[in-house]
Amino acid sequence: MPDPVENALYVTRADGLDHYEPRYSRLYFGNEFCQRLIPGAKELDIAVGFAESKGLGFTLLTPYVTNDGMTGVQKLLDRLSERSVGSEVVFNDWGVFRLIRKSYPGLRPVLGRLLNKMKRGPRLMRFLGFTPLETKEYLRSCSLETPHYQRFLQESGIRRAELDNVFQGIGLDLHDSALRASIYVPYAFVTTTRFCQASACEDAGMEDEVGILECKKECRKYTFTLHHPAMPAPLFSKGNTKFVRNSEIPENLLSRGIDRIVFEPEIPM
Amino acid sequence: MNLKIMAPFNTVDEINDLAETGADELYCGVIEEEWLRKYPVVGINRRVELFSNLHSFADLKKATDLAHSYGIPVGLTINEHYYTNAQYPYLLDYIAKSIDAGTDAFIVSDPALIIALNEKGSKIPLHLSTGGTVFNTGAAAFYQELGVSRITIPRHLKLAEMRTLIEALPELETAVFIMNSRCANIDGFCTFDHSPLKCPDPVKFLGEGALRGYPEGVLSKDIFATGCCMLPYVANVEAAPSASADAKEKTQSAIARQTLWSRHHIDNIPCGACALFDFHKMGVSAVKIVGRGNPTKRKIGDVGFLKMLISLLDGGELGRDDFRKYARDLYRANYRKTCDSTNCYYPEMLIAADREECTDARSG
Repeated sequence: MPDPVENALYVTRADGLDHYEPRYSRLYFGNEFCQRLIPGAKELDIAVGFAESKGLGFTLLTPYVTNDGMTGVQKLLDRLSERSVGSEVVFNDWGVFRLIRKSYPGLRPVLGRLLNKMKRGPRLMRFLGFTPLETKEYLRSCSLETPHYQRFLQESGIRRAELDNVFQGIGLDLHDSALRASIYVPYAFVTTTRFCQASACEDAGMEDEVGILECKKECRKYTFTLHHPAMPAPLFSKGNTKFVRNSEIPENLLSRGIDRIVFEPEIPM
Repeated sequence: MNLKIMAPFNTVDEINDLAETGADELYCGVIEEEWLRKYPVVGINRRVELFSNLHSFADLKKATDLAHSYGIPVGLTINEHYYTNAQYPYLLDYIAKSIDAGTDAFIVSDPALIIALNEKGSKIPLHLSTGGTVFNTGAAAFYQELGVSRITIPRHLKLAEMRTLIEALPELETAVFIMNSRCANIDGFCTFDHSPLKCPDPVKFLGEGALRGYPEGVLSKDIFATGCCMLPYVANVEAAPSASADAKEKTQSAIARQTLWSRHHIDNIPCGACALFDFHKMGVSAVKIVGRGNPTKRKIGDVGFLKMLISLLDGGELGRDDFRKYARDLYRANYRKTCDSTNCYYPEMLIAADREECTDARSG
């Protein structure tokens, strides 16, 4: 009998821990999209303490970062490696991976969903049915299926990769590889930017201003939906990132090497 | 070290003019019918459309022979964000043919492809596309350890952030964007489709059956031709602070800001030329002009514009502020555009400048 699929809870802040239910056996904590939202060591302590108290595995999520942002990630990794040996760290930046590999051998690197480049924009569902079989198969998979990349990941100590629950379905089959995958439900990220359209969004006169602007964490207040007939599903715009929502969990996950579902009770920003 | 101009081309006929105008490096893509039959909406190099590409390796050979006669290297884009198992037999054959055709560098973004090239013992220099998403020194070092010799720095870094990255790894070549197609989102983290229908004959790519049956006005080729980042979305607020009068005004501003890319085209001749002074000082190796599918006249104009500015830098005749002002004046005169943050590659340069000077198109 195969092991059952593991259920994980994903929260970006300590106040999201209210979403905990006994069905979860792992806690995902952190931010994948914005270095300004990397939690502090105190919040990390709360999350790790919570996971310990409930007997949960712990996974820290990290975003893509500049050299400045890397300093914030490093502080968290220092703290996490002191507190919780064997924890996972989801990296969405090869520089963060390199840091983990070189300096934190006790932490387990997990390939983040931003580094899995499957198409997520819902517009493709408008033409998917009209495309040749080869195109459909391409859009349902990614480079994780190539044996040479799997070998590289394994030799680099990466045993898990993160997937989004894309509308076109996942054709990827990792069952015969050493790699295992997680799937995020219901929010799939579609695109992200440093020209954040939430920053300065309350300021009249800034509607058409582009740049890496100062922010007051407006993303904490606002969530937008973007609708267009070309898109069969709305985009959810939160902070610097756009998401889609797909609650339908695919069948036969285990048979394809997907052994974990990461539940997002809120848009993960 | 002199700043090199990296220019795109899509036909052999463009090479003489580009070389004589001042291009120091050329880059292109090749797309063949065999690929399009299987993957009509999936690129091999981020440009699905035929008109942005050469159509055969015979043309690539002619292009490299001609470029080499000027002493100019030719880079080939194989920079799709990912490739699958089924594509590798074609891909490896494609790579072998491109080596035979005299390609000087591969511009790549998928780590899996880089690993495959290393395993095959390829000796062709590897240049990382912006799709590789290098935002920090560690990421650059990661790719350097995989054998990459040049990094294309993403559009979404500030100049100071670029500087720290370049200074930390002086042995790594770097390229930065300088003209055209300034993406609203981070290229390497953008998973929108880039449909091929912005072309004269969409049926040729998808077949009549692919277009038939779409509701009138809903999936017209115009809608497909518009990048997903620029569609005229209807934006609604799902969660907002409160219903007070002040909050309502703020919410209206916030909603308007959500649709800014519906009002401003990302390819409204965006430019970063006034940052050339800083790039020169930083030791950037090359400035990249985007626009493989742009008209030849535009490509030559872009090269000429940048060549003139780089000649000024090489002559050391202007200080930083004077150079920036001169670059902005020349941009406005050449392109009849104002400088504003929606078409400025490095908007912090605008903050440093006098806004009125930047937005007065007549001064050029």
